[in-house]
Amino acid sequence: MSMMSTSTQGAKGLQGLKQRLNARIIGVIAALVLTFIVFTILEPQFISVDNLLEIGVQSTIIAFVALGLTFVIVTGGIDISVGSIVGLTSVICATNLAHWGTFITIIAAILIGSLLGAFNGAVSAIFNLQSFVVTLATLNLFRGIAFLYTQGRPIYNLDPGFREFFSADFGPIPKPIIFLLAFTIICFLILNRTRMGLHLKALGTNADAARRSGVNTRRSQITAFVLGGAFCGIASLMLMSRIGAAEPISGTGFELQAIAAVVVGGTSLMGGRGSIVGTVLGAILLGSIAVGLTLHNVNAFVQLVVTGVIVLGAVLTDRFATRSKVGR
Amino acid sequence: MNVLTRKGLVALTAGALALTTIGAATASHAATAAKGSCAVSGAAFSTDDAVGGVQFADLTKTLGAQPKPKKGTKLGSLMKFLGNQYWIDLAAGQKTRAAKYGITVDVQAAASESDQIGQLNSMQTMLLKGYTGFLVSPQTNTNLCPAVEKAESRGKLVLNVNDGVLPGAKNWVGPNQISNGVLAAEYFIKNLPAGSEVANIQGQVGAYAAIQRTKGFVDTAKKGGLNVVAVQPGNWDVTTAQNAATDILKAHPNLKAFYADNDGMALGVVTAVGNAGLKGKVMIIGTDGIGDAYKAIKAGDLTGTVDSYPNLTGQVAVDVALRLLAGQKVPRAVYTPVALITAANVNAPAPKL
Repeated sequence: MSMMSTSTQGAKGLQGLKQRLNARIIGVIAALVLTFIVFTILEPQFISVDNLLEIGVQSTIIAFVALGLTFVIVTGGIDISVGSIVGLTSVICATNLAHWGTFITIIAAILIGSLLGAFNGAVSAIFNLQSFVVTLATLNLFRGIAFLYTQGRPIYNLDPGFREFFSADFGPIPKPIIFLLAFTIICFLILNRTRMGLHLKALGTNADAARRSGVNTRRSQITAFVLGGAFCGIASLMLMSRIGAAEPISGTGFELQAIAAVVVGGTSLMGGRGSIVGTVLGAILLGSIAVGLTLHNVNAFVQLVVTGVIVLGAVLTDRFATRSKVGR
Repeated sequence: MNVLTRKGLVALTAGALALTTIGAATASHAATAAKGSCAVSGAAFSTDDAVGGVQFADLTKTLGAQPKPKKGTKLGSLMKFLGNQYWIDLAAGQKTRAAKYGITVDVQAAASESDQIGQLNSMQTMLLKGYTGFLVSPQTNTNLCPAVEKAESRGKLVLNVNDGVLPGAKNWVGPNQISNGVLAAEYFIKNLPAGSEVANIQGQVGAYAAIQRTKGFVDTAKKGGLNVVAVQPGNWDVTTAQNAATDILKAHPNLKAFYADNDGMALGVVTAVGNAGLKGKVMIIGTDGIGDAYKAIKAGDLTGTVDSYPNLTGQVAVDVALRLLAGQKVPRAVYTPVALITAANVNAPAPKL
């Protein structure tokens, strides 16, 4: 935390920051509880174990993308090419799954995701470009390559062993949920207990100050994108195993859902402030709303409206919290 | 950079190991290869070439009258996207027919035309609600597969409606896709001099309906002596189609006709042709038979549309589902009618059940 204290706020400010973060997580939890109460009243089976597990499974893919994205956003950057990274990674891995076998495919997915992320990060960092613009370009670039790679065709019939590997149940609990728990802990440790995490947050808080205090900002920026890409790689594995196929169009629109999860979870798009637990809870909140509305047989368009309202609510809450506590 | 690479490799290995450990923890489950609508041995199901496929009108002849549904029959329907007139009409047909029998159809769809996971999530959730059977029009051929497998493993009926086509669909209802393109090409062959330049605006690249319609059009047109000078993707989208048509008209000023894989795109082409000052000089035929296409035909903007009667298709789907639920042996593919609508027959009544 020594990095943070170089900004003028000092120990008191830090304490306040911690409190505010916790307040945001409590906010997400409150929203979750409210959602659960409302839907349980409307559709009693909402609270059934089957349904709760279903919510977990349905939230996993977006949660993974959002976890990686949290590292990027905490540096003050953004990666809107995540959906295309998922698409390209999954078609390459699906095409070669039979050759590679499960283990190599896992490594390849993480590696391809990381490389695509590294490309985004390197172009942004080296040429000093806004990551929004760079990833806007690669959103199209990666998607186009995915289409060319498969000539627009989907790849079916992925090995059932591979699918079981990621999607089967472990005892009563579906594996995706266990994966998500494990990686949430890993991400939490990276962001909050390592020097790398500290540097990422410092970069997002004040890039100049970070540079002056000896943080290699360029490297940190690239690292964030590599992490973001790696998690897209894992999300691709989840996606492939869930559908049993990969299509070049897979992952379209993921960026919006993932950014929504991150923002609802209390990570600031301005950078510097991020919450791993918040991100996962944000993804679960959006997932449970989707499930609840479907159970209640509500049109999918309502889901978009509700998601929009929730993101807006989260951002506004943030704004007022920031104003009143820091007094900007 | 060296440190970074080393750290990266360590992280990569750690990540992969974590995944493998958790994954392998229960690899014991025998890989239960599914035998349902999502399993294929060899080539995927091609509805246009289905062996033993029948026209919907012949069902009563071969299978007898429509059976009465059991009380409490509840169907779940997964449409592609309810922002597209075609699927709105199809869903309306399902609801009309269900209301006639006094049963329920709940219709759900994804929030956009390319939200495969969203549609899958909807079906997974619907599985919790105890539907008797499902009518599915998957966004892609495979995106609903996990839910379809689950439904079938629980003995629920899954009837594939229109498209996408499940790779091993047990039962399917919908229009013959290739005949859409064939009908359009035949009209041009009859009404244009041999050697005329024609073009096609294709639907979403890779989509079965787009592939088949384009194939039917291009093959028939070539055989009939027309010159197919361009096939451009319009991705089912009005604006994309309009831009593609504008470019094609610039490159081929002598073009005589367009066939578009759906009506939305055909209406985009209408705008492009109008902007180029060629209204009335270039024929345009669309596909689907949506209301706006009928209006455009009456207004003289559109030459025709190959109507596949989505509302009727929705009704037939409910009928076939009820036949299957009653245990009848319905052929794998049931075709719904397809007809070319032009100014000559635009006011004729649609076929009825």
